Order: sequence, then C-alpha cells, then structure tokens
Amino acid sequence: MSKKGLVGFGILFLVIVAAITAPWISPFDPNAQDIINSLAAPLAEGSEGGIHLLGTDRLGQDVMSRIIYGTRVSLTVAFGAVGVSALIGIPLGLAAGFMNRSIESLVLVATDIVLSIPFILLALVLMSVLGASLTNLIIAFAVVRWAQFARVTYSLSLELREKEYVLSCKAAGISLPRTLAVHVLPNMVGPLMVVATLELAYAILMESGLSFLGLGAPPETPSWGGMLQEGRNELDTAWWLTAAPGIAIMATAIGYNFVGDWIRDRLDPRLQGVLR
Amino acid sequence: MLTYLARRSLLVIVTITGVMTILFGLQKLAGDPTIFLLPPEATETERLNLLRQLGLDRPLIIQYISFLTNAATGNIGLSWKYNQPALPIVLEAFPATILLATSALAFSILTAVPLGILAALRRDTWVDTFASGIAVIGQAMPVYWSGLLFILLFSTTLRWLPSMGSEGWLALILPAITLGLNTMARIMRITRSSMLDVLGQDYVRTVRAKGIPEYTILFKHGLRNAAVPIVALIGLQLGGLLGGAVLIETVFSWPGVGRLAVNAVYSRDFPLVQSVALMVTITFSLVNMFVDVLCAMLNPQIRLN
Repeated sequence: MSKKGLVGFGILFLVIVAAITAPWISPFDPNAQDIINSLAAPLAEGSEGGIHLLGTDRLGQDVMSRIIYGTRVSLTVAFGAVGVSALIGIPLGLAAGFMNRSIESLVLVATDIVLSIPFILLALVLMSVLGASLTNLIIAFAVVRWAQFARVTYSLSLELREKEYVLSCKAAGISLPRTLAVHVLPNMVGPLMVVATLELAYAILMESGLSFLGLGAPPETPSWGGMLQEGRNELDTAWWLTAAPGIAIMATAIGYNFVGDWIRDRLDPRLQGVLR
Repeated sequence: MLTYLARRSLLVIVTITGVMTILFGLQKLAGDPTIFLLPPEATETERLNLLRQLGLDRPLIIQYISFLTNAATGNIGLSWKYNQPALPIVLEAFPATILLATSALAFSILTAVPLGILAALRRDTWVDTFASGIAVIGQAMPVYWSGLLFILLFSTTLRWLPSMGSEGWLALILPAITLGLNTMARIMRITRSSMLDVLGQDYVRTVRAKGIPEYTILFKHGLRNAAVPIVALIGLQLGGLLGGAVLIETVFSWPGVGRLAVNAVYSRDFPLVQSVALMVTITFSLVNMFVDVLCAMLNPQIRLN
C-alpha cells in the first residue's frame, strides 16, 4: 500500500477506535464542568486530579475528552449523510442512464437545480426549519448531495450501457433490474467508493460549518464544530479551544481524502477526470 | 453555436424556477410565520390580519403562482424583519460579496496556476511536494477555521491586518485569502494534472523536436490545451466561493449577503433568505453558462455534444 493510503487508513482507524472506546479512553467526563478550572491551559492539572492534556473550556470541561467524544458525531453524521445520499443518488443515476429519455432529462435537470444552490445556504435554512439534531444534519446533507452520486452514476452508466455484456443481457431477455444489480453495479463500485470518500470529507466539513453557525449538532452533544464556535469567543485568550477541534476536523478530512486518492490510484489513474 | 446558447439559456431559466420552487417549499415547511412575527400575547384576529396582509391566507397553488410571477418581476415581498422590500436589501449587500468572491478567486487563480504549472514541470521535486502539501491542507481545512487562525496570527498577535469590517483594502486581504484557499488547492491540482497530461502528448514532443523555445511550448502548446479543464473547474468553484462566503462573512463580520443570510435564517426572515438564495443562484447559473460557452469556444468538440 502507498504511503498516502497507509496514512489515510491509519487516521480513519484511530478515529473509529476513539469513537468506540470513548468512555474508556477519555480522561474526563466530556460534560463534567469544573468551574474553578475554567479556561485552563493545556497540561494543566484538574482540581480533582488528572491532567487536562488539551486544556479546558469556559465551563472547565476537558477539551481532550470532548475531542474524543466528538469523533462519534463526526462519524455518525458523515457515514449517515453519505449513506443516505448514495441510497437516493445511485438508483436515480441508474434510472437516468438506463431508462427512457424523459426520466434521463428529469433527473439531470433535478441535479442541476439542486447543485446550483449554495449547499451551506440550503442546509442552513433546512436546519433552522427542522431544528438542530444529528438526524436533521443527515437529512440536510442528503437532500442536496444525492445529486453528486446521481451525476457520477449517470456518467458511468453512459459508458457501461454500450458495453457488449450489458447489450447481451438485453438480448438474452434478462430483466433490467437484474442486469443492473448483477452486471452494472459491481462495475461501478470502485468509482462510487471514491466519490463516497470525497463526500465523507465534505460532510464533516459541512457538519462542523453548520455547528459553527449554531445550526448543527445540539449544544449538549460534544461536537468539533460546536467546540470551534465556543472557542471563537476566547480566541485572544485560549487558542487551544480553536486549535484542537480544527486540527481534529482537518486530520479526519485528510484521512478520507487520502483513502479516496488511494482507491482512485488503485482503480485507474485515468478516472481523475470523471471523479474530481 | 446559437442553438447551444439557446439550449443553455433555457436550462438557466428552468434551474432558477426549480430553485424558487424549493425555496417556496421550504417556507411552507417552516410553518406559520405569524408565530415568530407576532408577540405571544397577540390575538387571533391580529394573527389572521397578518396572514391576510402577507397573502398567506390564499390557496397554496395561488400563493405559489403569485410567488413565481412576482419573483420574475423582482418582487420577493417585504422582509419580515426590516419591513421593507427584501430584494433591494440584498442588492445593497451584494457588491461586498462579489468583491470578496472575485478577490478570493483572483488570489486563488494567481497563486494556483503558476504553482500548478511549476509542480508539473518539476515533477517529483521539492516544488511538487510543497505544492501537493498545500493542496492537501487547503482542501481539508474548514474555511472558517483557517479564518480564525489567520485572525489569531495576523490580527491578534502581529497586529498587521484588521480582523473585521470592510474599511479599506487591508480589511479585504484576510477574508479573501481565507475564502480562496480551498479553491486554490483545487485549481492547483487540476492545473498540475492537466499540464502533465498535455506535456506528455505527441504533439508537444514534436514541437520540442522542431527546436521551438521552451516557453513557447509551455504557453502556446501546453497551457492553451490544458486550459479547458481549468476554466471549467474555475466556473464550478464560484458556487463554492459564494457558499463559503456565508461562513467567512460571519467570521470576519464582512457586510455581504452571506452574513445577511445567516442573520435572516436566525430571525426566520424568509423573504430575505429567499432573495439571497435567488441572487446567488442567478449569479452562479449565469457564470456557469458563461464558462460553458467559453469552454465550447476553446474546444469545438464540446459544441457538438
């Protein structure tokens, strides 16, 4: 495996392990407040023992523990959002590629419409209407990003539908759903995985962006974006509140991007044009 | 070319109508606005009066049609918060956003294209490594976070640049660079791979064998042929830039439509949100149409498809 791939998988492995083992590896309860130790610098000692490796926030909550618990929000939202987007987008992309012309243009126009509204603006409105929760974050993402999956699936379909093995399925009288499930989809898995990893990176950036605007994860859930938002008010005095969650978000996004690059290089370097 | 233009314009109109429909749906999804607009002690009559005043007592389909026809004449209705026409409020804030987005775009093109070309020419040297390092970080950094870091470094610590407001050119530097970072990373990646692709072609080997000077090869034969994917990507990036402006304007207190939209969302001022979304979508669609036409001019093959 390439160096990039190793780093990417390494980061994601760490994030997943942290999310699963959060209650055991966190030095403190992420929501335990320690007002005497408000805004303690990194490596400060807690008032009831223990070291605040990454310092504390205004309420004296341990930043390290909140970062560790934040992996849960990050993973849930990213995989939930991308999973739902794929479940909607891929069938629609297939329908556009393999069914009649009117369905084709309907799906294509719909993707054009959805992708021409700035995503963050639409998500912002949706979140304000639906209310801040993890499920709604997933919905807000999927409402727009299915179009990305549909678009890529469609452009892959254009190529595959001319292939001999697909044409011979038709000649042999094999039903369209069966052809798609058995012969077409397996040949799209690789490129679609690349899209999925890029979307995962996009999802965590968006989640944190919306949380930063106060319309993402609910305030009581420790999330990286929410931590950044709180840290913004203490930018002059407590830099660690801004640095720590930002690095966590960036590292995770790099992890997803590297895994995506690795899959793409493994598949075929020529795919770079299609899978930007 | 003319049919291409006509078809492309039709798509813009369909897109904008579609966007308006989504915005209308969102407003309906948000439920009864009088709950937010009136004080809790308001009577039922006051509530019904307001509904009638806003035209929300009519059947849904009538509301939808009048929403679309009014929008076509530039009338989105009154901002619920400011109680004046919403579109002019947005138009007033729009130049600030355009200034920010174009500065960001200029910054990213001016840094990314030379760096991308250099990385392609000096492949696998430290220049290439440096460029791809910047690309990796630029694509993975949350935009508002890099903004906060810049404020911390250049405003709070070094005190070189202002961290907020829009007074003078100095105030533009930090928000524009922050907003442009992500775009810069993307443009650089595509410039590098597109240049590598073109420079490996047979015709480049042929002109080189003819003894044509290296810079002529680079600009006339290389960059010109590598330009289509770069130009296409730049067009797509504008949507990202206008969206990123929502976050950046909030971080830097920049008086554009992004910040306006965020505040309008907080106060559930739907006509204002709709006006911002409409203006941004129109801009994005028109720029993309322009870019598509430009690409069709650069590469005749596209026109035939």
